[in-house]
Amino acid sequence: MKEEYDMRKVTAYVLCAALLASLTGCGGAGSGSGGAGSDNKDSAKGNTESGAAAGVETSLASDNKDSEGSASQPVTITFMNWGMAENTTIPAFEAMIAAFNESHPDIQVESIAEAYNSYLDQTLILNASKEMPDCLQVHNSMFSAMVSAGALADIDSYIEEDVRKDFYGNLMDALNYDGRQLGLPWAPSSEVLYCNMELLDKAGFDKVPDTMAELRDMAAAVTALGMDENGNTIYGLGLQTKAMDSSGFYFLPYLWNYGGDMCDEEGNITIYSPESMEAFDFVKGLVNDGITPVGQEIKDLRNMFANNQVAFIVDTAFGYAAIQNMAANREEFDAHTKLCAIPSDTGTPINFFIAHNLAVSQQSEHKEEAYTFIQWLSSAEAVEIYNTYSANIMPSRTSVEGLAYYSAPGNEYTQVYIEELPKARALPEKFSGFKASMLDIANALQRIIINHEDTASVVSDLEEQLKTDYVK
Amino acid sequence: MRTKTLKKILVYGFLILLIGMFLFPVYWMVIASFKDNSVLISWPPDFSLSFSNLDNYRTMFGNAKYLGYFKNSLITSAGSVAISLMVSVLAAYGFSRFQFRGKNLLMTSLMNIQVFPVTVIIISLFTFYSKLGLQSTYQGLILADLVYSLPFTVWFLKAFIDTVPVSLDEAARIDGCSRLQVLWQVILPVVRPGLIAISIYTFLYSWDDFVFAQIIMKKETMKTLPVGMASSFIGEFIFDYAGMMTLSVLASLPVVVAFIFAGKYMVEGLTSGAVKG
Amino acid sequence: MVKEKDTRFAVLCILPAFIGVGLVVLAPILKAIWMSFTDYKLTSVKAPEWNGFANYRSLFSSGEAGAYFAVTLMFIFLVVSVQFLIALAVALLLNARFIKGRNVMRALFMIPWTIPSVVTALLWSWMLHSQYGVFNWILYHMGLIDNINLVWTSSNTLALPSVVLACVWRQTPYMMVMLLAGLQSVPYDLMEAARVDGAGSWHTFAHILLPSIRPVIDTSIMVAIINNSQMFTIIYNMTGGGPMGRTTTFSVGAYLEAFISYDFGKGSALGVVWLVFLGVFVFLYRRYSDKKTSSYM
Repeated sequence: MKEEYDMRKVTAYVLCAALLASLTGCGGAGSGSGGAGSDNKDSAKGNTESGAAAGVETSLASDNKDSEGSASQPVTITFMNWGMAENTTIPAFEAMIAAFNESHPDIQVESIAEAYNSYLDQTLILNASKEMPDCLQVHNSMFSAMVSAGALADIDSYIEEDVRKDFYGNLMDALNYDGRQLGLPWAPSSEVLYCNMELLDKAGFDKVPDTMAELRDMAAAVTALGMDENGNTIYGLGLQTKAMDSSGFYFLPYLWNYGGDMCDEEGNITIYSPESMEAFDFVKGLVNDGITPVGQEIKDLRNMFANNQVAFIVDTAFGYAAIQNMAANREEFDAHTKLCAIPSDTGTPINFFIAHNLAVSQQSEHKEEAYTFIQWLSSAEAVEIYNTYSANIMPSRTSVEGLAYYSAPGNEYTQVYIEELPKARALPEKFSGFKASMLDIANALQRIIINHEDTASVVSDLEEQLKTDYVK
Repeated sequence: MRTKTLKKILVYGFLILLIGMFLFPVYWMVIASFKDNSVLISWPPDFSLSFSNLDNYRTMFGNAKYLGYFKNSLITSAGSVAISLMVSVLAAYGFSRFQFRGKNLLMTSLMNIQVFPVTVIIISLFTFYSKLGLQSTYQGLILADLVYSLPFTVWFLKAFIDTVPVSLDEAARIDGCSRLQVLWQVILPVVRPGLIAISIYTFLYSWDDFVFAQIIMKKETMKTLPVGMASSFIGEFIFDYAGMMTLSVLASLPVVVAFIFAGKYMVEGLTSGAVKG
Repeated sequence: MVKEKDTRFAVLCILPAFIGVGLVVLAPILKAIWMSFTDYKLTSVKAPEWNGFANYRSLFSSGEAGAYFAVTLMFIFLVVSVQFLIALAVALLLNARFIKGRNVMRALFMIPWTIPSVVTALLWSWMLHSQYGVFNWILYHMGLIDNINLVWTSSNTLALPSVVLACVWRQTPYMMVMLLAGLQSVPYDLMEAARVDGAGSWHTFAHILLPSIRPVIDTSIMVAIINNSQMFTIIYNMTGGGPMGRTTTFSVGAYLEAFISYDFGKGSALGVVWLVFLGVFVFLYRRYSDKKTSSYM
């Protein structure tokens, strides 16, 4: 009996608590329930109130912006990014934002962190719900989707002529849609070939490959080494073939090498060609001969490269730091890793670039301030801070090239990325169907190498699929 | 006698084998949390448990954000349980004790909201949440988690209440109890075990929720464990296996301990109720 | 059994639950049903236009719907049946009278349930990795596979089993807890009586034990089916729905339509098809289960 009574008391307590919580939940007043939650809310409220109160003052004092230490109220802008979500880049982003806030007392930047994997989804949801931040970090593979959703603002009128000329032309053009400049390039990188000289040495080579044909022979020779002393299988060349969009664009250099292409400049699909089939057959051959592991994504390949399991991979400057982090011994890794251009049989460059671009959102009410911030982020001052805390952030502007970081002892390899960048091609990313198209290519690759289907029919299916998916 | 001992040995042996198979991945997580990533991505695998490398744990305890994730998850899960208890007790009572038209349809539709792919409704949901100012609040996430675990808790609880003889209700009514008093004083004490069972279900449902937590908790300080773990350890460039395993070992530990203590109630729980469905 | 026909009170009781549900999901689902008849695109700035059954036609004529159906049913069948069999075995053994330390063993079995799905996905794709996964190493050195670099999550045949394995691992504890609870409620006398009557253990199991926990089994399986039809996190993080759609269930397919092709019209249409299918299933199940229950009483 007594136990029952106690239980009743407990239940009553729980029910009361629940009732309270549900009441506050519906009322939205947020008073009292959930300690930290209401704290945050209150402080936020405090901010906006004082902001409104000071609004009058700001408009009065707006003319004498220069007067130092004036009590003018700063404009707060929000900056959405994935840098603040990842442990490796948090310190750098914190430092950059702090430096900007310090040097620009009239603008205060607040960060909204979102994980990279779901970044595009979440942005599009925010855009559809009219909740966009003022400015944002945008990977170039995500750019066209945001553009067609009308999420990004034309910042052309804010860009001063000398600043515009400072940016690399190919990067800038990729963000230009019919004369509308919808973003600024930032932290770009060309894709280059990473070579593990230790493995190559074991296979009897002491140089990097000059042509794709040579690369294949060298890769085959490395594969013939079999296993290392710990039982890890050694591969010649790492290729992405998992069911994901990046598998599609990491295939493009091989496609380009054989003279094929996904589409022309207007977005007309041109993949159904003997040249493309040759490229698909090249990959098929690599798999059949055991030169490349099946079903990997770039993160797996980085792990394998760090573990001396693969002689060649194609990766960016960001990848270097990531692999270094996974490697058992950083010095050894630095010593036996050599970078070079992705070798092409015809001599025409076949690398592409990726970039973390910056954009101002169409919904922002502080576009000018947001532009000031993103322009600053791409400057030498910011990139220097970025490189202090993080590694291998490459310049998107000529004026940033001269940073001491790139020529510091031990960092000479970064010159390869800088040299390759102007030659690098843009991904076929101008249409919103980019992501779906890249997944189509990945799917075609899987049909050929996993399902062993006939190349010609797969590529002809792919052509039809791309026609419906790419420009839609 | 001998066959009985043999049988015992066989049963224990089989159980231990099964536990071993089920706990091997857990063991793998635990030992990974004491290792450096470079060890985790190459063969031969190291099966030994060694406490010599505490770097991962130092990182976890050295960074307040991880504690924040844990706290947010705990508040959301506990909050869902509290409200879920109240709402589903009432609903289950209504469904169990009263006969009305469309009851079957209502119960079916309650279950059916579960099956619509969440990814498709997420935009309308988010718009609605931002209009109400429920973004980045515990109330908002609790509401969403609650609604998605409610169908099951109502179904299970209805089954429990069905097993309580109506004669008990009637006796109490004759004594002058109101219907709510009957629920409160007669039925709830009897189905206490059922309450514990659905509490665990709801708790773990919220604990695991990813899609809602990601869309509702936009503020860094409000993120829950699964979302925080995904964004901290599955980055643009690498998987941080060691970090992820360390944090999930730390986060699961208190829950598992709570299970061991709740064990007694859980059995009683379903004992008295579920038999009669 | 007398039930009071006091509809108003009953409605008051169930109202809070339905208010919650109505607030959070009803409006979005209605909107999604409307979207399924339009050309709503996430990446389009123009207002969505009504296009009748075009989304449905394209789903069925392209064969996507059929493929998703096949994968989803296969996935659910495998996950639920495997977890049920394992859970039943464990529950039967743990239910044996002489078992000591039942609480601790049950708690140990429950650990996988506390591991979030995101972690489960990463953990299993890591353990099943073809190049440095621990499973390949163990299986090879036990002589069970010839190829030490066996590909799991990107294989034609093994991708689905891989995600099933991860899901079973995480969900079996739930099923086990429910079944064990049901078993422990069966009076011991009943079993003893059967044994005295000379019934063998198979007979006791099939004719006494199983029927008496039947309602628990039904409800638990129902819940498992519904939960797995929503399964997204583990599948998508392990295989991305591939290779070649081999693991694309309805929920993964809806995501791909909505966030890779940005086609919310088609994504919603997928949701509606699945809603109708499962809705009929649940309704029939309720009818059947109600009949069962009333025959008990």
